[in-house]
Amino acid sequence: MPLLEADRVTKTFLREGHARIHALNGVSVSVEPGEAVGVVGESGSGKSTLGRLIIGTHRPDSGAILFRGEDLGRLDAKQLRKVRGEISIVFQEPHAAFDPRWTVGSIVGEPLLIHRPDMSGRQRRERVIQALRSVTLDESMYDRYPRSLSTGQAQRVGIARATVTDPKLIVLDEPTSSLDLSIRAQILRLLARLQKALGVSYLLISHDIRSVRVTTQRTVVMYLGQIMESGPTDTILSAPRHPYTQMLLDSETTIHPRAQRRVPAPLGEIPSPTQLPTGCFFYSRCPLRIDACAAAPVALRTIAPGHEVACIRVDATARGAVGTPESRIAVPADAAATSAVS
Amino acid sequence: MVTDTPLLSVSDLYVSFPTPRGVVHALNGVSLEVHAGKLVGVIGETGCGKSVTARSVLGILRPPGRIDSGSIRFQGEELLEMSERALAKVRGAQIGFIPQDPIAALDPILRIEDQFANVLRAHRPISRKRCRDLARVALERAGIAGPDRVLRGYAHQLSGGMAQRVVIAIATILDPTLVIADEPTTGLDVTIQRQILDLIAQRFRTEKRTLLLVTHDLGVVAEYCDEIFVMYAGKVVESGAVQRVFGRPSHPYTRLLIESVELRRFDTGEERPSGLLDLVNYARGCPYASRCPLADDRSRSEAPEIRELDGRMVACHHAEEVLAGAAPRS
Repeated sequence: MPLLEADRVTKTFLREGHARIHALNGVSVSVEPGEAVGVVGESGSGKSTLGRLIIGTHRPDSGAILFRGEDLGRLDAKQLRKVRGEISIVFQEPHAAFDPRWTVGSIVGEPLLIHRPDMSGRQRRERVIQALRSVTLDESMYDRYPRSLSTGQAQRVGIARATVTDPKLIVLDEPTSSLDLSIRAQILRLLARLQKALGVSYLLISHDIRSVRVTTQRTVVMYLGQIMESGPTDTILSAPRHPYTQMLLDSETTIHPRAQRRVPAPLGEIPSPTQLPTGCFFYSRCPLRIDACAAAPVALRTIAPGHEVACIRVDATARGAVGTPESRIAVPADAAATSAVS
Repeated sequence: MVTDTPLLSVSDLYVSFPTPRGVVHALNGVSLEVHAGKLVGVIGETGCGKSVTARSVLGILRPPGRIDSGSIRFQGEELLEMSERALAKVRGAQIGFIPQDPIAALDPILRIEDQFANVLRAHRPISRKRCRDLARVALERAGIAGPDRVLRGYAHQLSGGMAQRVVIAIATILDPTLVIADEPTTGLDVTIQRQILDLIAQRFRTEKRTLLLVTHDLGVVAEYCDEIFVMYAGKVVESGAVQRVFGRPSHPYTRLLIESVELRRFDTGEERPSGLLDLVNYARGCPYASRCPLADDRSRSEAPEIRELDGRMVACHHAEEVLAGAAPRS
């Protein structure tokens, strides 16, 4: 049984009495015990909304979030509290997430007060120090205040807090987005190491498709509140089959640039989530679109074990793994946009 | 080596920010040269002084920042000795600016067309109608289809990508020789980033404009720039042609950045403590020594001078070792 399952969840928000924003449009994701799953996508993809549904700050309009097979929407307050102790979250801006008047010790220890009320003060302190050590912070941090921490240290405090109750699932919401490059690498490695050591599951939400490489085994690519592609992280990164995933990967810059980009520069911008397209959600920006794409909704199809793609032109995207010269995608003349500067 | 006079030449620039907690020495002798027609990247992490350098050139240092010493020459003229009036003519007209947050950079209560008019009419005596015509063309060249609707609208109606196109159109409307862009795509999605950078690079190449691009993103520099300056703790630690520097770094900090972006190395040392750099201690040694795996007594006691090595400039006592250890990449 999956540890966590989002089953065809939808979520809409009303924007200041105006139009209804369709943030999630039937998303199903599962996370197995001990598995790390990455959710990637750009602004407006719905990835953060998905995270909020899972940690319980929002409820789905339809569909269900199941934890160990139990529908979170059907649990009573007591049962829900127990589950909350098993799902924790790490936020993007560590400093913003902490009360500046609290010491590191009380920040990290707070979840224990709620979920482990049986612990004595001494036990709690020991557990907090253990959690700090596991993120390579020493005991002297215990009495420090958030203001005196560097961003990297603060994020490690956030991770210590998220692991202190021995959760089964940690939702990581853009945990490295506000960090400098060299610190980002440290935190990603720490997360990968902790996951192995603790056997915990991760749901890593990120706009940075590269950061899923070191930390996750499976990756889900979202666009406009739908899943475009999901599969083993290695496959998604080395041989993506949805044109959106290919465009996303190709738009990432590298320090050893290819002579030429493999796919043309992306067209336009993400459509408004208030007026969803009738057919494929990616139609307006897709270099491979044909009329049939706009005609009817496109469902995820399994193209290889564990690899699903929502694209009716999936045959046209198979040109060998991205990264090889034969992987250039044929582009209709009208969609040929700017190419990169050599 | 290029021998012609640089378009922009910053030399030995010192900038500090007096604060209640002490003086923050943001720039500690920054020197860089930008040659006409080049796309030049300035890179480094938070607090390295890359934005302060850009803002010093533009004359828009945030208070309480002050230039303590040094020189900023543009087209051979010393900007730090110019009158306010002369400076105002240079800025905007000859040096354009593309800031990080385009929506914040635009005036929220002015129509976009009025913002174009303000810039144009500050420098040229032209009619409103002529302004609108010029703005329309500028927006089209910034890749905006249907510019009239944008011109009549306000900043908040634009997406981040559209707002940055508008800012680029405004920054280039007076045909500046040099444009300084400070993290122009930070905060934008990668597909939009690519559109914006493709636009800037292609246009600047054809229009023979010079770009000083401040960014924390090595990939952006690698994909779009000719030359790079790597900054650390208010100094340039390595500079040269992008392919040479990234292909075979000679400063341990450049090497660290490359390994971090490739996620090849993770034991990247502790961050530089944010905030106050003690200028007395600083002057004694290499600013990178506290994080550097190669640091020795000399690094801690003697600040390395910037010097030429293997066709680039580097400030490190151990640059030969770094260079020797770096396998050349094809």
